[in-house]
Amino acid sequence: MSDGLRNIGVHAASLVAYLVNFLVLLGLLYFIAYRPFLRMWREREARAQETLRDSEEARRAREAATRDRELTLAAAAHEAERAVQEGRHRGEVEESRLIMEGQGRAQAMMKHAQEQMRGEERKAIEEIRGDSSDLVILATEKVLGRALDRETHHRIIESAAQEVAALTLEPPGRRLHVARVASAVPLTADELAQIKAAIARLAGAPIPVICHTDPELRGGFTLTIDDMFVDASLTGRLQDLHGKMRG
Amino acid sequence: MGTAGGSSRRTRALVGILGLTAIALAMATLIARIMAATLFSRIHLVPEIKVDLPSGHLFTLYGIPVTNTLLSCWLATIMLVALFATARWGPGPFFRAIRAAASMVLEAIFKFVVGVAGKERGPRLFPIAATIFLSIIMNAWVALLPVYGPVVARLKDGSEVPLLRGAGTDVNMTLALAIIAGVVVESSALAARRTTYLARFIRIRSLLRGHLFAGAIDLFTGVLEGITQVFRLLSFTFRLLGSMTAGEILIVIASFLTPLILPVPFYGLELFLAVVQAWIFTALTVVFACDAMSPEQAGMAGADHE
Repeated sequence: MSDGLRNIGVHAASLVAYLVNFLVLLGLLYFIAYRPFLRMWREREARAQETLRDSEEARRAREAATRDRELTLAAAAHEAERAVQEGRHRGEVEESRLIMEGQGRAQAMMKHAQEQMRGEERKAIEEIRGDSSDLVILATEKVLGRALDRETHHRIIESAAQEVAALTLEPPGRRLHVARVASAVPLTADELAQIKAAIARLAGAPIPVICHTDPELRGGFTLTIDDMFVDASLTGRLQDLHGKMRG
Repeated sequence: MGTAGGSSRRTRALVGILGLTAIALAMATLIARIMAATLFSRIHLVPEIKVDLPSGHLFTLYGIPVTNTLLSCWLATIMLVALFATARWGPGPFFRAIRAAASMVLEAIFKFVVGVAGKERGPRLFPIAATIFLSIIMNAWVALLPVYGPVVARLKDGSEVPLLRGAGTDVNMTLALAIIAGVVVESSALAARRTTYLARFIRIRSLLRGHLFAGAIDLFTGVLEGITQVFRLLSFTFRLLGSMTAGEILIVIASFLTPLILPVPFYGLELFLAVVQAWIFTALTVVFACDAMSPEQAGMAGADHE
């Protein structure tokens, strides 16, 4: 076999020489070229990995930011919806309140207007009543002014004397001193006697009576006994009537 | 990366460079031969066809037979180291261009190795693979220089041999590369899989379990695996040897047949074939190493025949 190998040129020493040559070449090229190349490749790989990590982190951050943004938008939308609902509810409540307030005011105004109307009505009625009573009194005075003759005066005085006689003192038993009588026309003796008798009955004893005339009384007489005043005149009665008609 | 137009432009550029180099080499060889034939009467313009498989023994140095192929290998080694040294440390734009070209070549080899072996094993295999590739290609290309052939050395016995001859034509060189490739494959496999790799060759599990027939088959299969490794080594050796030797013979014959018509295409072919052979040798080394390191192979070793 060794002859065969030698025939094709295989030689152990040459083989070793080529092996050594290859190893020397490998060593030299490793230090000159391969080591710097591998170092550069490792640095490039590290940079690429770092870039990948950074891009992955950036992608995660972007996704997180997108999720946060979506959550924020959803929360804001929910908040906005809630605010809208609340606003709508407040609006409805306010609307109801305003409507009720408006209705209340309207009712109050209506009531006030009605009261004013009633007041105006009453005032108008009173005015009319007053005017009517004035007209009636005026007419009555005019009628009385024309219709009162002596006979009528006498009847009136007589009626008034009876009314005085029917009065009672307050307090009973009080002592009266002087009576002043004012009549529309001068009194006759009969009439005076009636009046004095009525006064005496009222006072419990005859008292002095002072008479004077007052045409303003129109008929009948007024009686003043100390601090007591009795109005039995036509004017007084017309004033009573006027007051009653006025209400 | 790049458009279809860019890659076709690149291909045209490479073909152009190859063609120009081939033309330059052929012309330089012819000129050298003409000059040598003019100066030295014993040198013929048209070379004689004489093919010797063993390389020419020039002299002995410290017990090492220095042959014309070993000398050529040293020359190629020096040129490689000088090229990368200038690429690394040379100043100026010219050396920057060399640095860029060297980086491109290393980048291409590295990408291939990492693509086959992965990012973890690739960087470990890269130095061996790159050195194998560069060694083969430089030894093949340097053999195309004009000094290869015309310059002869006279031996002690009076015979003449070319002073320089392509190292790829020496079986010792290709055998050395094959041994290195084999060592890389086996050491990588042992480092990755340890004893499970040995079980690929020594298959005794079935025998130990008492399956005699299956155990015998497994044992024989293990022996065949071992023989396969040896024949792989021989295949590496003679593939490269045959290609380089055939190329050299082709150049000689072409020069003989067409001495005045430059054998340009053959130089171009040799330039291209050198790249192809270097790439094949490197690729097979890396692929076999990865195959040996792959744990899937553990399933094939000592498979139970139940």
